[in-house]
Amino acid sequence: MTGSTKDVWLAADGDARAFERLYHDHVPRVHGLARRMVGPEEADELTQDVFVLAWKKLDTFRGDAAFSTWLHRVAVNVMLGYRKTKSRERERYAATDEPVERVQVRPASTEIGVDMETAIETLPGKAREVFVLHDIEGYKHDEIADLLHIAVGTSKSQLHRARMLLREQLTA
Amino acid sequence: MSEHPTERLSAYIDGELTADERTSVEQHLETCADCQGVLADLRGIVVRARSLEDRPPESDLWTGIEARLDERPEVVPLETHRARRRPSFTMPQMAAAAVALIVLSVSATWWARSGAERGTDGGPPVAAVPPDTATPTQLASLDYDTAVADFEELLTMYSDRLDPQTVATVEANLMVIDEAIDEIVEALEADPERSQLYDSLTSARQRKLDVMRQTTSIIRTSI
Repeated sequence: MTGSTKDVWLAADGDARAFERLYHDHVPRVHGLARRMVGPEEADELTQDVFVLAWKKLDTFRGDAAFSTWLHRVAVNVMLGYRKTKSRERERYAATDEPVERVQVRPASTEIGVDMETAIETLPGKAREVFVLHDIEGYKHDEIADLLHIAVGTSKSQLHRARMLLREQLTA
Repeated sequence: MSEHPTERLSAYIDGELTADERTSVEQHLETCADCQGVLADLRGIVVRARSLEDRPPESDLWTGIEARLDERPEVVPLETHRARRRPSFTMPQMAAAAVALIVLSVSATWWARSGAERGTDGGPPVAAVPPDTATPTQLASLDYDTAVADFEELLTMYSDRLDPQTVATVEANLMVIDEAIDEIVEALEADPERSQLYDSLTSARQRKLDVMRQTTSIIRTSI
């Protein structure tokens, strides 16, 4: 049994120190996902939410998947739930249909080396979600379709849209 | 020159086009420098996306997380947690498990009746049936190992008369409990001061005895 596996069991049994070790093992990936899905300003808070929720739900971890896979799914659901809430707020209060991401300041640099992460932040909602899940996190279109409650074809078209928008950003 | 197949370039990169679509795109690409450029850019984006590195947050988040851990409604006992991880069985397997108990019962009756006539002929010892009750103290003693060994001997003696899938199902259940016990013992070896692990160990062992007792009680009541 690996140290990480043992820590999962100890944490499920209420051992906060074991859960802290799990946190340190997995926080880079969770925080990376948060930065790309919700942006750097809110990534810290969402990352904390993910680990608190994971602590609460540890007893539902069935062990038939790797803990990292389970945790990542928890993280994706937290991010998507947050984005959905924010999207509803925008619909309620914003006078424009233009996604918030699109009105953010475009990176000043036009060099090839423009930060990819900054460019991702400029993507519109669904395109951003699909791009992060598919091209960065490795999800397949049918999985993304389930997560986002969209058609597989929509996932594919949003991915292409995201890539083309990023091309504009990164090669302008 | 045919229309630019820009909309299909992502699907082309991801290998999601049909053979005909792929051939069509490739034929276009052979003569279209613009699309070749777009394709190269898109491939570059995919490569860059996959090479993004994860890094920990700049500030410490654990303190804030730790302060919120009390929000957890309850701590689930480890043995309960393990129970939820039991392998799920198909309906045929569940049926086989039910048959196992019946077969055990019938076999026990047969054995008991013939045993009364045959005396000490090497049949399963009555002592193999675990005690009806077991205290934590007993569980920590050699009695536990003896009870387990006796039960395993009993199961082994009947195994050739049972459906192999049935035996496998019973053994699979016991194996899950054994894994839990092994992991707790391992955790205890690493940290003997964690007193709650002793409680978990006692509970896990109690669960194993419960399973054995449920099985053998049918034998007992059939005698």
